[in-house]
Amino acid sequence: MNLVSSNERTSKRGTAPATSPVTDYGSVALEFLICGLLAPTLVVGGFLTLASAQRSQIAAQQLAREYVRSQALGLGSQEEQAMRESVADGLRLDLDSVELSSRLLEQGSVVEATARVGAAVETARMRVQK
Amino acid sequence: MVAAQISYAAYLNTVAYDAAAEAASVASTANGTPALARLRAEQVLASLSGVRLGGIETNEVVLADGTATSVSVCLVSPLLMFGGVTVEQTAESFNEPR
Repeated sequence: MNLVSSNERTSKRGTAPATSPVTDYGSVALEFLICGLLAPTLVVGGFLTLASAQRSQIAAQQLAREYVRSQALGLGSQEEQAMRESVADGLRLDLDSVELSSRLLEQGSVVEATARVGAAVETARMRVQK
Repeated sequence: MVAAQISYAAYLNTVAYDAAAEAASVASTANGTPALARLRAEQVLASLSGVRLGGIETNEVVLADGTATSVSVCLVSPLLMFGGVTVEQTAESFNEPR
């Protein structure tokens, strides 16, 4: 039975042990760039993108609910424009990326509103208020 | 540490916006009040742990020809090595006829 460890064996052969710093290779600068800068930047970038998408989804949902309420109550187009501007300002988006539309369903008794904020689209329905 | 703090602040930003939007929606209803809006915002924020609530502010603003309720929610993320990060989000909602 051979009880000699691998390190001892390599030492006997005249080479440095496996755990010796002499056998370490690589670049500290490269490791710093990848692990210290690139990886955290990618993680934060991904997280910010995800948070932005989620915020757009929430804004679209809120806008659809508010718009369907205004349509059910028969408010005008000035409110529609103000709602779009409010959301666009709040999320620092271009006004064109915030869209609103509505249509009547069930012989005009129900209004359906669709709001788009960026890539997020949400729909809400409400009975028309007499 | 910095990456974690920024990521968490971004998440808090989303939660603060959600709370502000929900509170504005509640406050703008015909029977809505600032107290109800505050309660709704606190319900949304209840699941957060270790976050300090900077404040919830409710204001009446004029938008187009009507009035709207504006709610601002301010949160301070937990203190890490570089201190707390303050996030503030505001949402507005048109008032129903009262």
